Amino acid sequence: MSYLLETVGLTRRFQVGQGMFKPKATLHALNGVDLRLKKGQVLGIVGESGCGKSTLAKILLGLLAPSEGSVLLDGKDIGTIGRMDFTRRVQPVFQDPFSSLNPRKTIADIVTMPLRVHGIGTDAERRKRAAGIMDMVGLPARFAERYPKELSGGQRQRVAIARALVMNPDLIICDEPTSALDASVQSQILNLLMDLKRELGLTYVFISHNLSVVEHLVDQVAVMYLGRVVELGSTAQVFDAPQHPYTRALLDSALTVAPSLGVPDIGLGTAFPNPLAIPPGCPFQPRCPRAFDLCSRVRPHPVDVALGGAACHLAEEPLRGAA
Amino acid sequence: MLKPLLSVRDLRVDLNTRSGVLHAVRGISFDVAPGETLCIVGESGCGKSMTSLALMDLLPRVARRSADEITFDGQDLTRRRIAGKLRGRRMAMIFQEPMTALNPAFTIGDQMVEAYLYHVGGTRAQAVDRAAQMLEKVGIGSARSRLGQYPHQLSGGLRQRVMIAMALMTDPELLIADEPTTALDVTIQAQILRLLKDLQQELGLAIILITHDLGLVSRIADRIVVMYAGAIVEEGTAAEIFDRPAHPYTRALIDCIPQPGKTERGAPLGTIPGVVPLLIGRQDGCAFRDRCSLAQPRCADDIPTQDAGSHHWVCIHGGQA
Repeated sequence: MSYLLETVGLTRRFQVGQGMFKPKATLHALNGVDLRLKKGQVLGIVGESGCGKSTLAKILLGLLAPSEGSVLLDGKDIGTIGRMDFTRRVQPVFQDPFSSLNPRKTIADIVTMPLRVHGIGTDAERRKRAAGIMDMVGLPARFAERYPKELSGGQRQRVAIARALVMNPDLIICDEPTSALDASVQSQILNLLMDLKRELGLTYVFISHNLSVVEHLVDQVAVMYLGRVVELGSTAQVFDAPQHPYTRALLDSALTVAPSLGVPDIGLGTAFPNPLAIPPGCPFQPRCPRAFDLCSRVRPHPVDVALGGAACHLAEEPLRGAA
Repeated sequence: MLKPLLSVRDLRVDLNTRSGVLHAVRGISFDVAPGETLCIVGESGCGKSMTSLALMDLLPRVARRSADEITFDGQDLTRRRIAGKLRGRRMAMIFQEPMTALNPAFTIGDQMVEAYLYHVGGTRAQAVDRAAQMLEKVGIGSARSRLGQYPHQLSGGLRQRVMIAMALMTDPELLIADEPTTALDVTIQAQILRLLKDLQQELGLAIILITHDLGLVSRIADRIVVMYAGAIVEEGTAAEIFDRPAHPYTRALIDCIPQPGKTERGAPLGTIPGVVPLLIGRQDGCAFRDRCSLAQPRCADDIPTQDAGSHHWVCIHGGQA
């Protein structure tokens, strides 16, 4: 097995109440998601809210069980790996460093917590390890006895990263790790994540709505729409030559620094995707500026995880498209 | 420049805190011309939101505002009676999170109509007509039935459209938008900004847009004010700020963000060492000097403003020094 992380047909359904007397509806948060990630690589996940990014993050962290399909870590289903073994290898960094740190614990307590849970080392050894990690993420040693409220947003996110690294994990799931931070702090955290990856040989799943950040940081990108991967490829393939009209619209709507370009007209219409009523055919078809008759009837082939590409009739070869 | 619609001279906002008086806004001056988009950009704590709240008289209780001049179309906004007549009518504001700005217990129709009846008057039927018309204008279909809906029944993008429609009910000349699209998806953000731009052209609206997002600013601004530690450090047109940034802080801030096509993928991004200075107490000289790679001893003295036409910056260094 050459993949550190693999998802096979990952599907997650939720039953959603529609009101007191209405039957519950089924929401497909994820629908047949296949992804593969090699050790030392960064996989970016992009898409609008409701596309399933956060559900995917929770499943990859073992915090939520898939309805169907499986997540493989080094070829082993994570359901069969014990919780303790799993958390030694996979750790999260979440968006909000204000709510993800316990306000009543000192920074040293927070960073050493995973070690205590796993019963690793003596108290002195744990402190030493925490001090080493804090130094690595750029936190001064004097912060050890401080509380989260005394730290700035960027410093708190460093604490969250230190806590994730203290177990020496293989894989870090970053869910919008810099979205709550200012630009000057974001660049420090992104540089830190890139340095740590190089030094420690880490593998990241990087979930973000900020396309410039994703383009800068990741090796491969999966574009998600209503629970499905609609385009998958290397950063160069997806950002330089997007095939799916949705990917194009996403890239067009990203407001990069370009005073001459003005505000783009992305032509998606005002229809908002409803995960409770996914249309037949292509899920993106109601908003797609390039939709044609086939799109409302036939669902495009899912993206082949080995080859990449787009789940779109326009991107399919003529023979496959006729099916 | 046209005769300014809004003129602000030496605006100061002080907050009483347990540790002393925090000078959140330290004597800023700017003008907004009719129909113009002025962006106020800066990082958290730079005073940009306090500035917008000060203009609308919405400051928290612990805050004190003072200014040599705040005039709207020649009228003195520091006088409460005059401000009361202008605020909400000729100048309106929209906020970042429409869910907290809208009242969840009332339909959007009720909320749109209430403000109109208060500021403009007329009959309820007229106000309802106006509300439906404004919802259509912001791209919300079947407007009549939408008026009976509650905020929670709308998506984030629709709520922000409702906020804009509500703000435009009284046909204002100035719209102050504080991070209006920060909580939205990029696709919805682009649509909302496109809508604001289109409405601006149609209605001749002046917009003050407050944001931390430099990319957004580069796309929408006619003029840009860059704030740092409660003061304006640079002001200029979008081209001046992004093509020839003069203040070291502006330059450093632009270098921090990955720019597709310009920044090499995976290369280290620019950073700004150190932290924002404490805003409590006096600040002499350049507030950025502790973090500035060009700092010199004389940066601790009074810093002159340098002018190059419409482009100003507060720094001893020349444009490309």
